Amino acid sequence: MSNSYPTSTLDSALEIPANTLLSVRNLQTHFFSREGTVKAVDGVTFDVKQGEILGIAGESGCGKSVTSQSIMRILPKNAKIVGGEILYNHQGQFIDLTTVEPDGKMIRGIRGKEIAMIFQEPMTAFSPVHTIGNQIIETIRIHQPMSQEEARAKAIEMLYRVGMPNPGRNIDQYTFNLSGGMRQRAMVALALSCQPKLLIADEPTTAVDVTIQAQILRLLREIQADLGMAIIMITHDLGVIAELTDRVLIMYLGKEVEYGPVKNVFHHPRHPYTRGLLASIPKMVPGRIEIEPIEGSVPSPYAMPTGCKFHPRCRDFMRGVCEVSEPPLIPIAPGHEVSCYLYGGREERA
Amino acid sequence: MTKMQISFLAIAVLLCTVVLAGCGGAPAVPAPQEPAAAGAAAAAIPNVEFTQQVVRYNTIADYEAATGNKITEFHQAPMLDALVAAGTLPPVEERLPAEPLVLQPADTIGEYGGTMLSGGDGESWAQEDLLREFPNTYGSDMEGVWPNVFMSWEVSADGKSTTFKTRPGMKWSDGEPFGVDDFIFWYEAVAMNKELSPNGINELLVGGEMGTMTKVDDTTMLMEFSAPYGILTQRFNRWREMPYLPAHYMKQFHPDFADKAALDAIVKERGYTNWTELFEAERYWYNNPSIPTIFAWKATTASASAALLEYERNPYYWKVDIAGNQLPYIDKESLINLGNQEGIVLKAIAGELDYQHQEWLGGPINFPVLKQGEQAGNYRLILQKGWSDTAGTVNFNMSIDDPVLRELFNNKDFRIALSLGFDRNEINEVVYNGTFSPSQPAPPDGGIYHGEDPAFLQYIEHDVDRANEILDGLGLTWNSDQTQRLLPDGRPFELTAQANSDGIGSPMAVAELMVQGWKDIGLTAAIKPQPGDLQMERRLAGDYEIQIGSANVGGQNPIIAALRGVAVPIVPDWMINPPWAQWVMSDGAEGEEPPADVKRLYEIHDEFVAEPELEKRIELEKEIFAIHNRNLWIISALKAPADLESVWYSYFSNRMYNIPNPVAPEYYYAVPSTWSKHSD
Amino acid sequence: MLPFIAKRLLLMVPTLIIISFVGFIIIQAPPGDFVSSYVAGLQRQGDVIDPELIAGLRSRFGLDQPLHIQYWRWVSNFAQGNLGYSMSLRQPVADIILERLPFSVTISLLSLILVYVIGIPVGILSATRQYSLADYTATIISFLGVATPSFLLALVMLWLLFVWTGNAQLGLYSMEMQNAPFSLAKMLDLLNHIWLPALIVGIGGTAGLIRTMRANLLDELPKPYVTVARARGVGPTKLLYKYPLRIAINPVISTVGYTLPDLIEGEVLVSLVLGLPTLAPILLRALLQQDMWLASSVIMIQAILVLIGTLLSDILLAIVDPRIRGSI
Repeated sequence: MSNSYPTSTLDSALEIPANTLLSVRNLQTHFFSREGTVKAVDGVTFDVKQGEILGIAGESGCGKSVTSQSIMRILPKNAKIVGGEILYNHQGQFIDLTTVEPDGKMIRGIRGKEIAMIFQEPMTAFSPVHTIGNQIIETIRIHQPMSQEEARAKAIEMLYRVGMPNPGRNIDQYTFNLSGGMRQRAMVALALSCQPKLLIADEPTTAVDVTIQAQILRLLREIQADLGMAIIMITHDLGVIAELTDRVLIMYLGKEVEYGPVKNVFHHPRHPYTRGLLASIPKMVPGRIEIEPIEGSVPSPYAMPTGCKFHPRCRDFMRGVCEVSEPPLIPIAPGHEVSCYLYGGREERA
Repeated sequence: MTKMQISFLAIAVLLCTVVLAGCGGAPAVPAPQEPAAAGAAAAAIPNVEFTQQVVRYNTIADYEAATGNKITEFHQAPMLDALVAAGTLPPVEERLPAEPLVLQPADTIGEYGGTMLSGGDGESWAQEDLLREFPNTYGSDMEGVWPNVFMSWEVSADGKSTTFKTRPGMKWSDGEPFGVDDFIFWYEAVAMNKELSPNGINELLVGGEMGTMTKVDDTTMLMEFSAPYGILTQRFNRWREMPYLPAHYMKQFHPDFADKAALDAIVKERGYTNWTELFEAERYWYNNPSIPTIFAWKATTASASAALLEYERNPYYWKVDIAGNQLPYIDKESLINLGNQEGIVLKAIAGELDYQHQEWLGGPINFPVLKQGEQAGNYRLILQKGWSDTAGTVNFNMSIDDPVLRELFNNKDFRIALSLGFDRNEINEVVYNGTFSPSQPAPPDGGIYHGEDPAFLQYIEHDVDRANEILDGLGLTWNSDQTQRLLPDGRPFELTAQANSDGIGSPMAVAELMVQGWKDIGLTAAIKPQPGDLQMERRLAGDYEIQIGSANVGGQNPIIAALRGVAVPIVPDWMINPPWAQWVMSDGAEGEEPPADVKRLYEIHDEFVAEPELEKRIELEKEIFAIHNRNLWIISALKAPADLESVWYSYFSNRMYNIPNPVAPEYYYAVPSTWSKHSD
Repeated sequence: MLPFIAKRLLLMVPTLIIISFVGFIIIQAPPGDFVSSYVAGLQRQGDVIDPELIAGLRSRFGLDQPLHIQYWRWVSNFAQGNLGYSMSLRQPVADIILERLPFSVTISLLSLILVYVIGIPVGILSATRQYSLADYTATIISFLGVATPSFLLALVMLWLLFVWTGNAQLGLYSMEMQNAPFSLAKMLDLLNHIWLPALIVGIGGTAGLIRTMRANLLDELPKPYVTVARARGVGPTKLLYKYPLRIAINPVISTVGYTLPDLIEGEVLVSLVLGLPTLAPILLRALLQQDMWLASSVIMIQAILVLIGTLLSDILLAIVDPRIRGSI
């Protein structure tokens, strides 16, 4: 029985370009429950360079959020990183985040300070009984030695930066007093309060309407340019990916499907799944709207297909090949990889 | 707030509340002087025979004449020595009256010192009886009329006036003289005052008018009535009112004697709404440390709801023992306010009490467990003579509206049938462990009236056949299924029996068994439990068919048949039939005319009150019983034994001695001032 | 906030008026009155009470007046601070209440403190170590505590203490200390006795609080803001206390007002069993004997305590939860 083994664009684990901020190698995160084990992330590899914006796209349940939670080590109790490495560039040195003590001093020093996260629902991201200022100042003071007044000033400045109206007054508001857009901005301010090197944005535009979505994306772009911050943008909205990101990683059922510069991936999608995704975006054709969905539905995580996880829904399914073993990652262009037997990999079966 | 701050605050609040509670409670009273080391009494034990009961000698002269011993000098409790030495108290010779009462204790001359502890709920009859000093008293065998506060008296030939003499030189607890002035004050301020006694004082109402009390001199008082009042002196044996008050102290609280404005100011300041409340509160010596008393101990705690009531020796007490020791022996007397009987029983078993009246010990049910603990708790149970109450006493509404029932109830045969219709022996076994005895209402066994006489034991057999025969003869036929009888007019024979749920002797349990028995003779009775005062109210209102409860017809001092509203019709809710009593009491203006025997009973009451001679009064009592036996208006199931220790017992720690054995039914007659306690 | 408090205080007035009326009626509801129970008691002792005396007593106490006159007399006096006169104890009611109230309040407060001091930490432990041995132990003990009636527990404890120590642990002080002036020794003696009633009265509340605390916390712990806080680098202690606990504790604080009547009432039975000098035995006797001014006044005092307790807990909740503060 052969397993997939990743071939990455980097030949050796030690050869990491200096401007790489985060390097995830063959990450595997499993969930354990009485019904069985779910392999939420099953061998994902990607890099994030400093100042770069990476998009992670895929359907719900494909493991995008679990990947980001694994990076931050904020997984729930019944989940565990069972394999792989998460190499983070911490002040010039690479440390493997999978090996640090969960909730220990090291990871807490990184969370919020160097790697920050913004979430889908800003209302529930804040504690309802503390002011937003309280929480922002708290984050600042956890990571930087500062007095209350200094931290407050910094927080107000941050709020101003994210475009919060009347920041000096709104800092003392509770989330239920603020409008939706203001809450989003507050959440962004919260995440950026310590000027992190990497921002992970977990579906930040999913719950908001289009106008606010545009505001947020513009905000993120501005701040990213300002601070030179890297962003991992997790979303299922391909339009957002197209607009914002430099590189994109497409995931399906915990596996890496296609990975490369966004222009390449979107203009020349290779993997059948990617093609299917792009094709299923409703198009406006004069007279009517065409929709081309992907056939079939996402299988249950407890009953995953053998071989290539996508093969039951794939138009280019090759009997005797695709269902037998998982396809390796095949480079098809510089920095562009695909995990599909259509592009080779058959001869590497042992 | 952080958790630390919360915890800190919580602890601070905790400490504050504990401090506040520690401050709360009875007002701080300076700790009483510790009684000095107790020792044996000062004088040698005189040559007398100690009888396990207290022997009374009215004066020293009487004692010396009776025994040939002499009392040459007086002694006092060591705790008073310091005060006399300092000059705050006069020496004992000056504190005692010229004619102190002389008492011979039950076992021996006692020793001074000690505190005795009992339990109650803040208002305890037994506690009050420990302190009361009636003008006269019964002997320890509950017979006779003995002088107490009074020294002597003389009754006029026509029985309408009596001259009483008090003890010269007797003083209140604050040293002020005690005498006739204090009786007269009571008479004027209380008895004749329209606000305190709107309808006069019953015991002074003879011949339809209030008697008079007049001062002849400081120690002589004359009482006059418009009709002969033979039992006046016996009345004073147990008249809870105690017709004397410290005039020099109480005057300030009475509008007839005090400045109105000053009185109103005090009333307002103390939180009362009018002067009668203030007066009543002040005169209640039970929990008023300010009022002077003539009792053996006087109150030092000011509240009836305090957790511990304390009483301390009265240095002016006017009784001595036969060796000249001023009584009482015991320095201090305490009552712990526990609020419930079980707590008191627990404390008793633990041996933490010194004495406890049967009132709070729970009766026969608790006897086994208390008896068992005697060794471990170092105490003993003594027979405390009880009352021969009858349980399962049935009274009938003789004036009921329903004509059929009325005829039945008024028919003696009917009542006989009901009396024969249940098994007294069974009830006795089940409810009383066989300790009671089947009986109609009766006086106690033995004594003067012999409650064991067959005259009191009519129709106590369980004779179903005879009962059925009688009922058949009365026209109460059986119904078709033979389950129940029918009244002469065809209605089913069903009665509602109101049963007293809180009476003495568990009448509820008895009632249930009686009703079960009556089923066999065709009577269906439904029991309706209710408390005693409701039972009275309903009877008064005529709102009943039959009632089951308990009763005591008398024949045992101080429960005198001719003076209580059970055997004789002198109360409007008379148990036998209220409208009859109302008729005789109102001279025919109200109620319903009763049979001649009832009228005779009322006459007997008046005759009794007027009759000066004891023998004649006994005859009158006997006549009362005879009338009741003849008529059998009320029937009864079982009579309590007055002499059975497992039913009537009192509790005394083994540290206590000079306790009469058996103890009188009320502590007062057991003369607590002669009780002593071994020093620990 | 102030208008809120003012409005609540104003609302207390009609509530108390209604309570006073209903309470008074219920006390008088059984047939008869104080004089008839007094007389019945005397008769049990073998005394004859003549009807004139009864009528005289009635008119002295105003018991022959129609009910609404009696009510008016009492309530108008009460409003002016004159609580009336106890016929059975022959003292002004105010004196009796003032003597006993500190003990009632102390025991209730101590129990309340015990409830929170034990209940909250154990509840937190139960939630954070869900399904562990500690959780199961706490759960079993809480169920037992809720299910056992307080007076039964009091009886059992009393008996056990008696068997082990040979002392009847009744009352709040030992004999010597009872009427002694206030001192450190007296306070220690009090502590020595008061732990038992405070514990017993509080145990039901503690059990309930453990369950509530556990449930609330389990609700809050998985919520997103906890994860977000973790993602911000907040340490584990603050992660528990500052965030989910702060919210989980809101319903607990808001129900302080409801625990207060339970404590006052639970304390009634326990006081009777343990012979404590609180208001409870006084109230019971007053009700049985229909000593109506005493009974009505004590009930009013308890009602006032409950209302104040509820108000305090609402104020506390407003202080603690800004969402409520915003809406009032």
